[in-house]
Amino acid sequence: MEAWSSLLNGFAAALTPYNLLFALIGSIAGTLVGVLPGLGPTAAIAMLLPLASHLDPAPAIIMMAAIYYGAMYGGSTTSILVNIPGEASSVPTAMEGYQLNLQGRGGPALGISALASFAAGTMGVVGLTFFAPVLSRTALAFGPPEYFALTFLGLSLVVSLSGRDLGKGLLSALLGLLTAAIGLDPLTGVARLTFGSMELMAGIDFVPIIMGLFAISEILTNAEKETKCILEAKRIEWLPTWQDIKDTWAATTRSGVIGFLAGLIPGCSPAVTSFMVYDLEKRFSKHPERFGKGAMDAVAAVEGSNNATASGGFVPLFAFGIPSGPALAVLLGGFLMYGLQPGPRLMQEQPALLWTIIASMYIGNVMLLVLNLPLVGLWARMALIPFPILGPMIAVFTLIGAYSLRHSFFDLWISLIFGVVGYLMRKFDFPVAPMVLATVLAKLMETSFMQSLVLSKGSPLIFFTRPISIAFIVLTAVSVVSGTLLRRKARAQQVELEESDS
Amino acid sequence: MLKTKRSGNIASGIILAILGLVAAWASTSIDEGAGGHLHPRTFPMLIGLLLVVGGAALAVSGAVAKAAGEPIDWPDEKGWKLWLIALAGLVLFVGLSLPLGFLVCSFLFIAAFIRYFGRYSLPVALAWATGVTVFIYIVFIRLLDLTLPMGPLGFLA
Repeated sequence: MEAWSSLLNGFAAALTPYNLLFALIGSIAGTLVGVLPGLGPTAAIAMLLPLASHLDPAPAIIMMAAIYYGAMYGGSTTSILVNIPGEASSVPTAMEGYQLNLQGRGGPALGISALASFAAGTMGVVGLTFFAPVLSRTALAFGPPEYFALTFLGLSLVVSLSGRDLGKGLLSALLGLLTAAIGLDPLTGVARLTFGSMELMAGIDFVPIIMGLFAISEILTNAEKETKCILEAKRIEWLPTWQDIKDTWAATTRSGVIGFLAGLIPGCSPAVTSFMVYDLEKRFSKHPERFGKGAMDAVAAVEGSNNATASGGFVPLFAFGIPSGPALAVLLGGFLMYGLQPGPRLMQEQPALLWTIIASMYIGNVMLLVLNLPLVGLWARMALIPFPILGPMIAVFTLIGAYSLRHSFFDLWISLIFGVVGYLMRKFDFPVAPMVLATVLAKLMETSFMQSLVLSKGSPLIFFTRPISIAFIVLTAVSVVSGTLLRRKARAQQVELEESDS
Repeated sequence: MLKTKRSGNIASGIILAILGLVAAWASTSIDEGAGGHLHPRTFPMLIGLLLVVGGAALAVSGAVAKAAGEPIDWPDEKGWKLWLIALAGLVLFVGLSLPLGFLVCSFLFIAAFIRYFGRYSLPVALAWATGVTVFIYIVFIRLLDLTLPMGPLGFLA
């Protein structure tokens, strides 16, 4: 009951025109940075910090929070329309959404993505409202062994992401791990595989890799084929149908719950959650054969989980002042700018401020849906632009995105190199997703493994003596075994189908 | 050469095995750091060796396969030419982005791509290139305050 009355007071404060205006500014800015590849919410919040310093704490933090969860709405747009996932968590959206776009269903995919983002994002805020005090302890239960076990579980998804050939999927994952191993050793700081190059000392960031593997290789493939228009379908749909919504609501709900829970874990890459819900939906789906060829439920699940994760991340931030990712770390900076230290004391001393921010998230999610749905038809029309005009635009925006991350020309070359690698992987039938997953997970996996060994004085038993860690290891085994069985079943069905055809 | 999936598997397997071998060899010269229970070379070495084994297995499986498999969807001669021109354009974009700046490079790349690949008239290509370049300037540089190399247009930053 206390939560209800506090929330109502929060709504009263958040609904003042002044606070509404800054929630709207944050939502628009968030959508914009989400749409533009490479520009994440972290950079956008950091850029707006000086502006925010002129405001009162409530509107400033409302605006910065709206940028953060607003960016999750915009993130799917370029993934679906032009195959540019701006971040690793959007990769599964690009894998399915872009295929839907080629089939003339880009509009419905964008619409479902906005609806799923709204529904799961709101579920996340409900979780934040009512379960934050209970669940906040989860954030503290995660030490290095738990992180290692979690990344291990994440890596096991390679089995189901490998497509037709598991061997090639594993090789693709190894290639990703090798790429991530370049640079400084995470624990000792010793240079590895850098061949004396200063640029390689900083490591290879996964964003230029993703940009290359997806966007640049797409441009090269279309250039060689003299593609006139990326749209293959004659019939184009602009908006989702009721059937689409009916088909995807269960996936959205599941992803909302999983995404929120994953958001509670500080430092857990949202990409892990994205790939996990993608894998889960493949198992739950009535049409798993559509995965890889354009599955609407996958788009809903991945985009829903991204938004729920964003909401879940506020739990450890508000409860303990622990930011679960770089964007929330900058937001924490916003709090500190006003002399506010998020944590148990802030919850007692400034409850009105926190509840105003939480209430503004409900409003912000509605604003984002209202902002994004009418834009769906407009964005989807981008697919009608002839490729010779769209292609160079994709290239230029991709390269600006790759550069803007670290202001590094080296990253531009990395994008081009991985563009060619991605092109060859397509030709030689190597799945790209395992490589992306491995690249994203590698650093956290290795660091948490090394730290665990330091904690246990070198004994690997530490992974089997902590309940959460054991649970993840068991889940990994289940995931690998069931994934292998599913692959066998799918292959047997295919053979049966081929025999009946002949 | 490399016309079928089978020959593709042999070639890609060999390439990956060589890459793994290079990584494993390079790992041997990694210094020992302080504070860790595992030598910093452990992971790169392990990954390198696994790539050698995996790559070799793929190459061998390709070599012993009876069926040649489906043909690889390589482009024809004209397709290769277009592929190379697109790649050369991208390489020039990246190579010239420091001296000329992103705005000039974007303008030139977009105009040239539209003109060559789309066979549009020069005014159409220039109009699109101008529109996109102005959009980049307004959104990325003015609105989002992004620091991009500007080359001779530095006064616009």
